Amino acid sequence: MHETNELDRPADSELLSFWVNGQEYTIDVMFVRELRGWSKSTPLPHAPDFVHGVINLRGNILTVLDLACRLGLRPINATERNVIIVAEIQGKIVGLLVDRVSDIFSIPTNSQQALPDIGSGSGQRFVTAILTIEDRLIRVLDLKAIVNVDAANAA
Amino acid sequence: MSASIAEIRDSFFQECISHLEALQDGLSEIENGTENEETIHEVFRAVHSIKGGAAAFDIVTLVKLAHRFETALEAVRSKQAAPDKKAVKLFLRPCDLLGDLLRLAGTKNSEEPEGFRTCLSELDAYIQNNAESPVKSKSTENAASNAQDRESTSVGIQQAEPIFDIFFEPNSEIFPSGNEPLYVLKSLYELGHVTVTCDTAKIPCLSDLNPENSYLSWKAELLTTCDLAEVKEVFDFVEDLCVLNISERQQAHSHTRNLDLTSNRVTESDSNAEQQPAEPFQITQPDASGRQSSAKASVEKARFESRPPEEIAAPAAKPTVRVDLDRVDLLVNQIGELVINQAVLAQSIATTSLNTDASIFAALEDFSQLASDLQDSVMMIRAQPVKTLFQRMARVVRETSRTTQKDVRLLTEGESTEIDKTVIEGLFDPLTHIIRNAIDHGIECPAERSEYGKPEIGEIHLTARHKSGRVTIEISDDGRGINRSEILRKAKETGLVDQSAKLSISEVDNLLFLPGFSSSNSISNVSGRGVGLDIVRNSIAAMGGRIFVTTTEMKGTVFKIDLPLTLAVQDGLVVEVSHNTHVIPLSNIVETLILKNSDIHLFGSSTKMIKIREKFLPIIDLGAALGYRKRKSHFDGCNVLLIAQEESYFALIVDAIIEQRQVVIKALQNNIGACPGVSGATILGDGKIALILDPIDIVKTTAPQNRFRKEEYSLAG
Amino acid sequence: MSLNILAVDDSRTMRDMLNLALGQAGFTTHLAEDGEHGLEVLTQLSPDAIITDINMPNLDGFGFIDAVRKQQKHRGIPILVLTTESAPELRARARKAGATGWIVKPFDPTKLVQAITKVAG
Repeated sequence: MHETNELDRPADSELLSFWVNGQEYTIDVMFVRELRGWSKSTPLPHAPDFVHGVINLRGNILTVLDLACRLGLRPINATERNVIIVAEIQGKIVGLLVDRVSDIFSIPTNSQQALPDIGSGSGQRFVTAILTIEDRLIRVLDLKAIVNVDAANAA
Repeated sequence: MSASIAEIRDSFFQECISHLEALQDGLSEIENGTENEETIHEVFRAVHSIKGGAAAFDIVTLVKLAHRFETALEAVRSKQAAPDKKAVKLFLRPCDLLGDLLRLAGTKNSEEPEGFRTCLSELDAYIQNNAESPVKSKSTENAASNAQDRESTSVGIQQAEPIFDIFFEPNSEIFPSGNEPLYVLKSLYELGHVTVTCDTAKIPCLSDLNPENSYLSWKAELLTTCDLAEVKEVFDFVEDLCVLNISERQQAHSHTRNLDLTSNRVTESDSNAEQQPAEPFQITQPDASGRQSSAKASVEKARFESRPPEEIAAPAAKPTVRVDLDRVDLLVNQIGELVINQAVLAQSIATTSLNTDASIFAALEDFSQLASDLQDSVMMIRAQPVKTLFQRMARVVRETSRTTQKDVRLLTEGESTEIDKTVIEGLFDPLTHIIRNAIDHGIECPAERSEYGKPEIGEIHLTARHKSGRVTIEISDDGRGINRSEILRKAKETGLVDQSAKLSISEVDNLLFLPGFSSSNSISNVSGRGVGLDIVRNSIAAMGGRIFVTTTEMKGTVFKIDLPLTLAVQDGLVVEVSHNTHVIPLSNIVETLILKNSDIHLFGSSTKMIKIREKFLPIIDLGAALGYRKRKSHFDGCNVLLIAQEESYFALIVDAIIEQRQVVIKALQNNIGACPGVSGATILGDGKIALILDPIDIVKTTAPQNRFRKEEYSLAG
Repeated sequence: MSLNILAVDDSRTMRDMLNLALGQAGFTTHLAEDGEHGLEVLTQLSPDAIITDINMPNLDGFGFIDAVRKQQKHRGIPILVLTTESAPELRARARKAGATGWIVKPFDPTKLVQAITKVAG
């Protein structure tokens, strides 16, 4: 596998990294539509706890997920300094509430390390790989799994 | 599986009944003087269609009368006779007679009804009086009927066999059209003796050859008893895709007629042609405009694509345009924005300290009226009658009854009821599911039905009607119904219902929609239902609708689907609950009132109900039901909305009522996580989002502890 | 070998008549109730010719022909249009949409068979 990739010289992936609850995560910028500052959202009664609420995105209703909560961490106490990443995946548009956005960087696609088996903590199933850049440890998120709520509820 | 002649005959008679209706309608319009050009065409087409079918089934008397009638009508249509009262009076007789004949033919009786002969001669007299020349009457009669057509042309055909010289060179468009020159030429052999030669000179060398192009041309010499029109008919489909020349030689005479079909012009090389009444071309090509003119002029005008006007029989459709649905949706959205914008404007003007009689208020009033009218109009674009949906259901019924070998009839009502296109589409699967279930499990097999004294043919009724701004679709069958105690037993067994629970009849019936029932096989064996009804309910709920079921053992089951007319706008009451703004659809609300302590009654230790007009109604505290806060302990002075739920009501407590307004419904994007009780959202004048609530769903799904509804039943009952 | 014919019409009477006439002429008939249904049938069948009505719910004749012609598999299939009128504009429209020919309703079974042999052998 690796050798083929070397030969093909695959295009680098461009990644957006951000902080959630003191940890750095990343997703492919390919999925990112825009970044917005946090604004007060409308809560959805009886929705799962990781659903932060809905906001008005230019006349459309956008569901915002509290990414910390989704990853099994403490919910974000959102203020104007928080950021909503508007992402599109599988035709769904969803907002991801994070603490702050840190970086956009390129890495060769094959430089991601497979995730060491460190048990199945509630947030672990959303992390597909780990990157080490300089001294930072960055977790690559599986956006599909994050957005796919049915599977989450079944789990 | 092919339908028998008898079955086709039956459906022909059914169609005839609607033709007869159109005929009667048209004649009475003419009688009242309210007719237009199209009315006469409609009347004509109705008779024409009846004749066509009658000829196919060889119903001689019907054909005879319809043919005469048609010829008489043709005089009116071609403006040779006026559609006056006298004419209408005359036409009403054959109209009635057609009805009689259809009934007689339905009983396979071929006798002539009373007054048949008289009517025929009256029509004949009318035709005689209004036909100016024998040529015209001949051509009319000729074109009027297929059977007659052949008869009279054969009279006109000359005994000496003419020779046709044909030159045929297809262009490169012939293959994409699906035509094959080989088959066209083969058809010539059916007409007589043919000699064909092929010219291959234009075939390029292989490297230049485009396999999709045509490079060949053919010359054919045809010796036949057929006339020019019949020869020409062979090339009917390709005449615009080729160079075609057909010339006719009389073996002994020099009379030739040259047809240059590519330019649609007829050139006469024999100036005496018009004096030969038996010339086949003149007979089979009456002047397209239907007016009497000189034979020469008629030849000049004849276009080979134009058929006799008798055959123009499309239903009188209003002119329409086809528009991409996306564009309509864009328009709907933009007008939605306009309505919101108007609300913002109204709001900000209201907060300024303008004099209330300032002209701006009148203008604003107009603006809001206009915006709302505009919204109504654009909604109408999306509305469609449910007819197409019902027709598709007819197919579902047919197919299912075939596979289950049960005789089932579908009766529909309210086909013209209009609903939003998206709603219609969304109904297809749920209705199919319900109807399949009804036939498969509900309706008994014929033997069983007659044992119970039911008619052998089962019936499914499908009705649609508008009801207070919503649409109700009802599907009922006359099958065996569902065994209620069996449902309850099963529900208790699987833990869906508490062992000690006492449920009302409608609560038991509606257990069928619980997801747990879908996976349970035995219930469907025992009672026949329950497979996947939760999915049906979910898809109805996704459209903002609700579904109820009522079943009566041995008598059948009724499903009632209640839907919004449109998915785009809704009249709602804007309310506030724990500082959250929500919209409750007006269609749910019976009335609003303010609670007094004296209205509130305590049942048991903690259950509070309100008494309104001698009825005790349960109280739902919306703030608590949505999980915003704890249940209020004092209701004095609270705003209450009375919500209609099936046949009862409940009282919904809100903190404040803000205003009543129309809201644009926005879908909750990709609907992450189920949001029970929330049917959508809207954007308010200030740009904030307000959730649109479904109060009934809130009671059902978010407050299962509110089991006191049973008490209400016992109290109310 | 008998030719496979797909007949698409929303009128039951018309479908039944077509079925009967085609059956008697020795063709194997497949029926569809509208354009949409017709396309559904075409996913599993490659008929020798198609006969289609114009005015139909869901997907009309023009839309149906257009969709068929766009499929590589059915690009060259002969398609006859059933029409109650033979106005030149209608024919021109049918031709433009990709129709091979037309049959005027009410049809004479002999003419129907002739029309089919003219386009499908």
